[in-house]
Amino acid sequence: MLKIENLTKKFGGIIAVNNCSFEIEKGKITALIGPNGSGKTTIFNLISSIIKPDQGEILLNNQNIINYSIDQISNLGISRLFQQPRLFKNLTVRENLLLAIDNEDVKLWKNIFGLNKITKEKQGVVQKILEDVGISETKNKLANELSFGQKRLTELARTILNPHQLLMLDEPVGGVNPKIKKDIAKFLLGLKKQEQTILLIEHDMPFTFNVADIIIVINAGRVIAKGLPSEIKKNKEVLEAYLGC
Amino acid sequence: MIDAYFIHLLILIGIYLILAISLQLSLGYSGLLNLGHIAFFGIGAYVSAILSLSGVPFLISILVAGIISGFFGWLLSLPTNRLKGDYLALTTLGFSFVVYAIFLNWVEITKGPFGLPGIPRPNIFGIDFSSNTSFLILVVIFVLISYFFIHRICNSQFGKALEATRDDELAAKSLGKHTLKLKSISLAVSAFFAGIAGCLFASYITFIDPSSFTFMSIIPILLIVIIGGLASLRGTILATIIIVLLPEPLRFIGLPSSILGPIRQIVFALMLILIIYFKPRGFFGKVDLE
Amino acid sequence: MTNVFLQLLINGIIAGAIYALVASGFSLIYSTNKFVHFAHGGIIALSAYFLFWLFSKLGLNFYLSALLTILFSSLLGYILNKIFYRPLRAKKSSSSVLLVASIAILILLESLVLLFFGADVKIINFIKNNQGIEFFGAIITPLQITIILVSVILFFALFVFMKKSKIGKAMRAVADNRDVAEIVGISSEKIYSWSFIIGSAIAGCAAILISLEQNITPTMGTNLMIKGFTGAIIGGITNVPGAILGSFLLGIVENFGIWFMPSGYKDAIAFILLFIFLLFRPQGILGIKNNQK
Repeated sequence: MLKIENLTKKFGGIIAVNNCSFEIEKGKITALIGPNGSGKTTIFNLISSIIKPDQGEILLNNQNIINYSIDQISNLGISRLFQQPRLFKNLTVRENLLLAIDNEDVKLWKNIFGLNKITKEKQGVVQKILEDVGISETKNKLANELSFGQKRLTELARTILNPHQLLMLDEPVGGVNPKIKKDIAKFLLGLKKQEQTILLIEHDMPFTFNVADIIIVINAGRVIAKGLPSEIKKNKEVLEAYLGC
Repeated sequence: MIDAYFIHLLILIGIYLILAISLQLSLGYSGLLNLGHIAFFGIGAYVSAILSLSGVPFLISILVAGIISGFFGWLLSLPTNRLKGDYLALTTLGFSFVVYAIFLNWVEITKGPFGLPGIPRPNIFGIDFSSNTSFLILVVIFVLISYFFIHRICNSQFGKALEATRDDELAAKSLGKHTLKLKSISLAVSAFFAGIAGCLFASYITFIDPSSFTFMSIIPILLIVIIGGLASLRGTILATIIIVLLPEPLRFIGLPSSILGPIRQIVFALMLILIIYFKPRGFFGKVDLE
Repeated sequence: MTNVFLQLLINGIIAGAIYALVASGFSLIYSTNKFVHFAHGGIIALSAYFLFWLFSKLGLNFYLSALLTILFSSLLGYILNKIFYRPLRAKKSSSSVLLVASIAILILLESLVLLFFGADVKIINFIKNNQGIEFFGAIITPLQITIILVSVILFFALFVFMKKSKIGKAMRAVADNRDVAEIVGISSEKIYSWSFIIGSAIAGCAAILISLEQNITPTMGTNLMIKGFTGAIIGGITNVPGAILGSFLLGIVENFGIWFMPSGYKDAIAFILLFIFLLFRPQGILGIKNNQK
């Protein structure tokens, strides 16, 4: 579904992504792991079109997407969760989620004439995901007022509500407590059962090995290993790169 | 006499209100620190004045004034799209300087520093609005129309999308929102209504010159928007009334206008600084000034 | 036989010197504090009126008045920082908020001037004999020569100060990376104060020279600030030499510009240049691009 070919990105003298290539399969959860600074988030930013590559191609269903803009990438079906919380802090949880459902909100006249109402259906969708993720009590709270864990869950819900064929999650459980970590793991596995395709970056190894079907190891901007969790665990090179995780 | 005075104040409140809620749309809801808002006010005033002086009926001149101002708002949004924070503020400020310089120097059209006198009061379908009382009714109608439109925009999903762009543009984009379009529409609509306010101003005072459109004139409007609270239309109404009425008691102390003017500015400037420091959310705002 | 080209060039250099006087103090403050201190123009205006008050109203000796004016302007800058900017900084206000505050302060200062001195133009009658001197077909007055000389000396002194003195080096450290500077023991608040003192002192010098060459008006602060700011942006606002270079360029372009269009458009040239540079090259000619927000 998503294929990275010979992707290279330099920042000044530093080569952040170095001729990197990999492919991810539909319906599976693929995890990118690797030491800090190995280029994982940069790869994500290249896919999202936040930055442009110096070389290489990014193919979504065999279509090269490197010249699309950030919003176009989203409309092509790639939904992104960022490493740092990026909620709309002055809007409520409900309002944050409603924005994800579709893009009719950009049409001025439709909205002025009241043709873009919040239907019962949309409200139901929002309610359901809040329940699935476990934060329905925060529905009318301002995003600013949530705890870190609640923020993460809200953002995860918003990312999923955004119509997509591929979910890109950057450290979905970074900094959350063990209970929420378990909930998110369960939730992601539930998504996989629905045949969703997920690409994630994580540092939490137990979580990753529990959730991922395939693990790709990135070091110094390139792929050094790819395989099932059980294979990766035994891979010497990987263990060296991580020096004890 | 007292009636006439109050009617005058109400007219001013009405004009300032349209200016303030239009700024609220671009600043409070969209997060665009547009310090050049007065430029659109001026463009609307001059366009409508020139048209009215050429005999164009009022309803057409006010519409054209709004559309041309709106067009410049849209135009300004394009190159400033990637700018944020103080760079956006300074660029929009720079825009207002350019517009002011044009008002001052394009003497063939604007008569430069001499201004345009004798702007006719509106005459719509035979109804004459020369008296201040009737003009007030006209202002009220336009205030209601403007408030209605801006309120509808801000409270719709479009408004939520604007607020999302304000809060985190990258996140909005990653949800598929075309933020350039959102911001352009916001600036265009904001400029459109500022232009409407400009036309009302020109028709009321019946004389305009560049001195009403210097960058300093943004201070009372900015003050209103911040005191009322960013992203709060209700707060804007209250704040407009307060700010317009506040300097008025000074008139009765018998101070000459050469003193009144500076004192008014000093009071506004101090209030702006104080509110930024003590209550950057204003009365009803939910958003901090950033 | 008038050499128009040379005359315009000379006029441009004089204007540039004046703008550079404004821009140098301003960009010193900007590079250290990282926000646009628009009120700098207000300090110039208030200082010019202070000079007028001392010299023309109280009848003090001119040089004494000038010295007191420079002390006044540095003190004023120091006070403004202490009562307005420092508390806002303590609240972690963004540079946009500080910009809005500085515009409010500028208007405050100009209104005070209007209040106490009225709107009419004031003149400082110090230079009695200021006949223009012929110079290869152009005319330049002794005062104008003095302005150029004094400003060049001032810029040189500023340059040496920034490079060699302890405070100057500390200022550059804070301008470069405040956090690291703090780690090596530099108190950034102290450096901010110094930047305002020195930057405003230069503003005082600017006020003195400008008052002699042009007349004193209540809006001179805003006008000069816009020109100085434009010069700083053109040359590169984050470094003082850039601001000075940009100001001279502005002065020259302005004066050559009115060769082609009505002189009223002189200011418009500056505004348009400002607008264009902010849009397309905000770091100026000499500046380095840094991330905006």
